Amino acid sequence: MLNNFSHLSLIILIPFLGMLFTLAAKDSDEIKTNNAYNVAIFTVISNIIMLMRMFSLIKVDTAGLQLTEKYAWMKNPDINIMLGVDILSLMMLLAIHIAYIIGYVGIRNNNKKQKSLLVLSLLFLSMVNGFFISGDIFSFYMFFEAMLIPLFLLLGMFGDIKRKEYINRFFVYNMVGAILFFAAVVLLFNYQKGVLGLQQLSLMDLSNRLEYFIWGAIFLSLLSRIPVWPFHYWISSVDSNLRNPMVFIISIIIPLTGLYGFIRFLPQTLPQVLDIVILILQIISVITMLFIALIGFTNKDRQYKIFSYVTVYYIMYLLGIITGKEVILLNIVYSLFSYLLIVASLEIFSYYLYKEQSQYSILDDGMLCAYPRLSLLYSFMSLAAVGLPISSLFLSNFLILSNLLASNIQMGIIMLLAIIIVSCALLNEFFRLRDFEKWSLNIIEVKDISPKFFSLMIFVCFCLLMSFIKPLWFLFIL
Amino acid sequence: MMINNIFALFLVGVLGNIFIMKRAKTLVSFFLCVLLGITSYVLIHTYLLGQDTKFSLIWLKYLNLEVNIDLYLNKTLYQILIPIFILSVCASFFSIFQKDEGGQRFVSFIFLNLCFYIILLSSKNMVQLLVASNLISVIGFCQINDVDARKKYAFYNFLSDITLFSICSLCYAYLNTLDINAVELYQKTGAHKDLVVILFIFAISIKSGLLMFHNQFYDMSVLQFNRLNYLLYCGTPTAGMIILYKLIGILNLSDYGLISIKLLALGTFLSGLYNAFLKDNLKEKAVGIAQLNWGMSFYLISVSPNNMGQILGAGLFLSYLLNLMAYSVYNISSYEQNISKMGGFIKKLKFSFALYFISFICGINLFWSNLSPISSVICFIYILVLSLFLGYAFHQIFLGVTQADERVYALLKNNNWSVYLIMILFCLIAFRYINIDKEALPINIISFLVFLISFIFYPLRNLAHFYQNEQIQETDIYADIFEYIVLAPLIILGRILWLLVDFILIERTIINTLNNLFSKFLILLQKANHFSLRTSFAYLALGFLLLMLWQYIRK
Repeated sequence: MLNNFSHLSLIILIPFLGMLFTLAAKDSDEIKTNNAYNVAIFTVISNIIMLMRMFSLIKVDTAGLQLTEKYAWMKNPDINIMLGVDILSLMMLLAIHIAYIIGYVGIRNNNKKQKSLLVLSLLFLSMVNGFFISGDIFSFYMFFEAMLIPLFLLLGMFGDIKRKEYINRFFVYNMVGAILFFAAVVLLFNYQKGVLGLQQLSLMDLSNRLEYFIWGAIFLSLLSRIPVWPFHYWISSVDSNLRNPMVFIISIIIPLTGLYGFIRFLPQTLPQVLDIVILILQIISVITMLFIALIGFTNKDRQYKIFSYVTVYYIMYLLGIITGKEVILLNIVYSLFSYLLIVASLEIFSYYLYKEQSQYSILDDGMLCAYPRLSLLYSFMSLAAVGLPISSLFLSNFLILSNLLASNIQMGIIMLLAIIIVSCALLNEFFRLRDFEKWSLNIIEVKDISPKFFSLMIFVCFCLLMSFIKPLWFLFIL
Repeated sequence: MMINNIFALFLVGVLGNIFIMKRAKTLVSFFLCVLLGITSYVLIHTYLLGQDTKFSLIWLKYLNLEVNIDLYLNKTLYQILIPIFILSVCASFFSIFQKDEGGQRFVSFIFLNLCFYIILLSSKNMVQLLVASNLISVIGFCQINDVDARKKYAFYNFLSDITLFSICSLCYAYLNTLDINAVELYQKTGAHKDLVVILFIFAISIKSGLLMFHNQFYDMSVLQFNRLNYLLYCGTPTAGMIILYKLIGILNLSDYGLISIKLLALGTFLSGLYNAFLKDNLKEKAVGIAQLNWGMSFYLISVSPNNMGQILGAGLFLSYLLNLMAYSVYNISSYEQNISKMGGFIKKLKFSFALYFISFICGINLFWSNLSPISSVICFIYILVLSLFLGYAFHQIFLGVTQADERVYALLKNNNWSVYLIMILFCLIAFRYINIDKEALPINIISFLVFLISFIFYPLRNLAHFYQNEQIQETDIYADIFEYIVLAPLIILGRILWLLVDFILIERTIINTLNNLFSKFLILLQKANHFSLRTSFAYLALGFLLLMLWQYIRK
C-alpha cells in the first residue's frame, strides 16, 4: 500500500503548501512573531522525514529511477509527467534540505523582509525538489527554469547596491540557456515523437547533426549554470555580492542543478568526434579554476573566498562527471553532500561575524577568539573544507582526483594547484580570524552563538563525521 | 589485548578532551600518565612474547571499491612503536610537573596521537595511511598553543598531506588497488614516475622538517620545552619517517629517488649542525639536535629500510636524551633560554653534570651497538659530532665565568628530580640492551676524548661570538625564500588577474560591450516592430537563415 503513496509528488507539494501557509502567517517586519519562520522550518523538517522514508524504500544498489510516478498531462501534444528518484538525487535533496535548515537557523534573528525571504525560499525548494525528482525531459526543463523565478525575485530584494547590474547578467545568461534548452526539448519531442525519459536520453547514440545539435544545446544550457568561463561571470557577480546567507545558499544550489543535469544527460558512450569538445571544456575549466582560486587567494573579502572555494570545487565535480565512471559519479554525490553542508555552515558563520562586526564597529581580525563556540565550529568546518578526513569529501575527492590525474596529468596538476590555493585562502582567513594578538586590541563583551544553534551545528558536524565513516550511514538507522 | 588497548587509547583521548577537569589537575594528569604507562607495558610485553596482532574490518564497500581498516602489528612494527610509546609516557610524566594550563588536553592528545600512530604503522592500504597521516598532523596542530607556530605548521602539513594524497590517488589510478605493497608494481604499470618521486620526496621533506622545511619547528621554540620535545620526536617528523618506510618502493621508481633523499638527509644534518652550534636559544639548539637525528635517520632508512625499528629507536633515544639535558638545564636555571647567559654552573650542579655525562655515554653505546651494523661510518660521524657538540655546550653551561643573572645563579640547585629519574631509567634500559664488544671500545674512547677536548680546551670558542649576531639568531632565511619565491608571485598574479583581467578586461570591457550590444539589439528589435520594407526583408532573411540551419541540422 505504501508503494502507491505519492512520495515524490508530496515532496514538491509540502514546500509549496508551506509557502502558502507562510504567506498567510501573521508576520511583519515591525511586529516580530515567529509564525512564518516556524512554518518554514516545520516544512523543511517534514520534507526531510519524507526523504528518509524514501531512502528506506529504495534499493540503494539498483541503478535507475525508482518509486516512479506518472501523470498524463496533455493529450495533444501527448505529454506525460514522470517522476522518479535514485540514490544520486535523494542524496542531493537531503543535502539541500539540511543546508536549508542551517540557513534558516542562521537567519533566525533577521528582521529585514524575513517573510518574503521565507516564502520565496520555500517556492524555490519546491521547484528544486521537482527538478531532482523529474524523470522525463519535459518536467526536467520545466523545473529547471521555474526555480529561477524565486531566485530572480530574491536577488532583487536582497542584492546590494549593484544588484541591477548583476540581475541583468543573471537574466541574459539564463535566458540564453533557457532558449537553447527549449529548442532542444522541442526538437527532441519532434525527433522522438513524444516525451523522453531521462534514462533513455543517456543511452542515445550521437550519430547525426540533429542529435549533436540537441546535445550541444542541452550542454550549453547546463553549462550556463556552472561557474565555468564565460558563464562564471554572472554567478560570481551574484554570489560575491550577496550579504544574505540564505540567498547565498540558494544561489549555490543553482550550479548543483547544472551538475545534476550533466550526470543525467551525459551519454554513456561519447563519440570520438566529441573528444576535442571535451578537451576544450577541460582546458577552459582548469583555467577558470586557477583564475578564480588566485583571485580568491588575493581578495580580502571573506565572501569572495567562499565563492572561490565553491567555484573550484564545482568545476572539479564537473570534470569528474565528464569521466563518466559510475563509481566516480557516486562519489561525486557523496562528496557534494558534505560540500553543501560545509559551504552553508561557513556562509552562516561568516554572516554571523559580519553582523557582530557591524554591530560593534570592530575589525574582524582575531574575532573568533571572543566566540569560543563559533570558533570551534569554524575550525571544524574549515578543516573539513580543506579536505581533512572528517567528512566524505576526503575519500570521494581521492577517487575523483585519481581519475582526473590518470586521464590528463596536466589538467590534474592545475586542478590540484587550484584546490591547494583555494584551501590556503580559507586557512589563511581562518587564522586571521583566530589571531589572538590582533583581537586583544579591541576586547569587548560579545555574545557567542546560542546553545540551540550550537547544538544544531554540532549535529551537522556529527553528520559530516559519519559521512566520512560511511557515506550512507543513516541507512542503518532506518 | 592490543586491540582493546587501541580502542581504550582512543576513548581516553576523546573523553580527556571533552571533560576538562578544573580541579585536581595534577591528579588527573597523574592518572592519565599511569594509564599510558600500563598501555606501554602491555605493548612491550606483547612484543617480548612475540605475539602478532591482527585485526581487519571492511570499512567501505561499494561498486568495485573496497577499503579496509587493518590493525596489524608484527615484531618489526612493535619495535618502531615502542620508542614512541616510551617518549609519550615521558612527555605525559613531565606534564604533571609543569604549570601548563592545557596539561590535561596535552596528555589526552598524546593518547589520540598514539592511537593514530598505531593506525599509521599498521596500514596496509593507502587510504588508511593518508587518514592516519592527516590525523597525526591535526593532533600536532592541536598541541601547538601559539598562533604563529600553529599557522606555519598548518600550512606546511597541509601541503605535505595534499601532496601525499595526490601521489596515492595517482598510484591508485594506475594500479587499481589501494594496497601499499603494490606500489612497487607502479614501475611496470604507472606513468609520470619521476613526478611521483619528486612529489613524494617533497611531501616527506615537509612532514619531517627536512632541509628547507625545518623552520616550522624553530617557530615552535616559543612552546613549553616538554611540548616542543614531544612534537619533535613523536609528531610529524617521525610520522614522515614511517610513511617513507611504508612507501619506500616509490623511491625506486626513479634513479634519483634514493640519492635525493640521501642529499636531503645530508643537508638536514648540516643545517642541524649550524643551528645546534650557532643558536643561542636552548630550545632552538634542541631543534638543531633533532635535525641532526632526522638527517642521520633518513640516511640510514634509505640505506636499510628493513632496520627501521632500530634506526628509529636508537636515534630517538640518543637525541631525546640530549634534549632532556637541555630541558633540565632550562628548568634548573629558572627558565633561562639563552646559553650565552649561563656558565660556571658546575660549582652548583655537580650531580647534574655527572648524570648528563653518564647518560650520554649510555646513549652513544646503545646507539652504536644497534646501528653500527647498518653503517658504521655514519654512526661514527654522528657520535663524533654529538660528542663535540656536547663538549662545546657543556663548556658554555658548566665552565668559565658565569654570565647568568644573579638571581638565576643563586637559585641553581640539583632539584630537577623528574628529569633525573627519567634519565636514570634511560641509563638502566640502555645498560640492559648495550652490547659492548671489542669494536665498541675504541668508539667509546674516541668519543670521550673528543668530548674532553671540546669541553676543556674549548676549540670552537669562536663560534660563540655568533650568539650576539642578530642576523643568525633572528633571520629565518627559508621563510623569506618562501615569502618571495612562492607567496609574493601568487599574490601579484592574483592581483593582476583580479584588477586587470577580471575588472578592467572582463567587467569593464567585454561585459560592458556585451551589455551595450544587447541594449542596441533590443532597440533594434523595437524599431523592427514598425512595418517598413527594410524590416520586412530583414525578417525574411532571418526566416531563410533559420530554414537553412534546420536543413543543415536535419542532415
